[in-house]
Amino acid sequence: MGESAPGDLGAPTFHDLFREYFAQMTRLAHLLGADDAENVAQEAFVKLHQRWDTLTDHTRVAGYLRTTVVNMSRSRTRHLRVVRRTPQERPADELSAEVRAVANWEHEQLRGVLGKLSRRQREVLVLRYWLDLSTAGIAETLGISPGTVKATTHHAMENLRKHLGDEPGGER
Amino acid sequence: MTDLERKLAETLREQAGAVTPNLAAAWAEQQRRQRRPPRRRLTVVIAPLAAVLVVLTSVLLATQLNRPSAPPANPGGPLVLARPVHRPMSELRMASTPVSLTNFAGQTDAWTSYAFTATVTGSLQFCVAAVPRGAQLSSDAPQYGMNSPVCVALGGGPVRAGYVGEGAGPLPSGKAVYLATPQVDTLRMFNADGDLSLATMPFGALGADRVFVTDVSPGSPPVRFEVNPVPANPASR
Repeated sequence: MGESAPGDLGAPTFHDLFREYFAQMTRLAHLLGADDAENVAQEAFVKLHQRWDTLTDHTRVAGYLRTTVVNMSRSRTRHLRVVRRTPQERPADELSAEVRAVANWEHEQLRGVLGKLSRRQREVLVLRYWLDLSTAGIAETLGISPGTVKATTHHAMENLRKHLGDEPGGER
Repeated sequence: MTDLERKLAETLREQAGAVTPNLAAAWAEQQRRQRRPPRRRLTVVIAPLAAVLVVLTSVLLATQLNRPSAPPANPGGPLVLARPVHRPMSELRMASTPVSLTNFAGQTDAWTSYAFTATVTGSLQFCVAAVPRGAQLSSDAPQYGMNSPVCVALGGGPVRAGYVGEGAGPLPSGKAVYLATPQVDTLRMFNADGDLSLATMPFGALGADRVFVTDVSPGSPPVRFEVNPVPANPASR
């Protein structure tokens, strides 16, 4: 189990990919609001493993993982909303008291405002400003058009500015 | 990048940095989950599939009963070969210089598949084995998977023996190797649907016989073959 694609010598093994992407996918799920980020990443890799033998292009594995994590995080946050434990209702982050004490005030404000954005706006901002994905990469990951990515990014940034302006001590 | 965008990127990095999974423990957990039987998923998938199959079969049967069926396209001749059997390397007496077929990657090592002829319990057979890349094909070399080496008794036709790659076998899934008589210059294989593998030229030789390696559809092995096909003459159209 966990072998490279047959005949594809030089391709990373499943274990290589796990080492390379597991932490990143866990963080992505966390940033998208999943309360069980590590479980989401684990299940994304299980799904990848189930499709491992049929994958022909290992360079697309990262994209496949990202899309899976985004979709699973959506399901998770939807479920949390149903059981009245929306991510917005819990603290905006899981930082320890010590870290929280020294956390930058602006960052804390931003985290709070990020939690108030719509799901798609939050996804677009995370993929663009944390993963540094291009418009095309974000479009492929979310299954939407590049034009929608640009418009969503614009509206998300507008909302950020608006919310930060509303916060005491915020921008403007 | 605006000031807000810069702050946003910093915030996201800081928030992401709070998550530090233990990779070793996570890998152990991942392996555990991979072994988990997908029972619920299978049930969810199989039930509707079975219903669709029943409907499709009924429709197909009704259609077949109302219409004379066209003769199926059966290109070439039927491929009838002996079944591959796993034999420990220590039982094999190599009778030819092995031909390296392909390299492939396992979980931690790279492997090389070899074809060779060997004497097994007194008779000459066609064998395939996979050992770590660079290792000698000997009885003490580690073997890939549970089926390596496999041996096939030689037949009397133009295609004397063959082995179709499989997950736990010495040749990766999606590839097949055949041993043919010296008269075979080109070999074409067809699966049960009549789909054609590419015409294959000899890959190597074991004694006088020729070795052919071809790509096949996983799960749909060749069942018919054609040797030295005559190319279509454009002038005859």
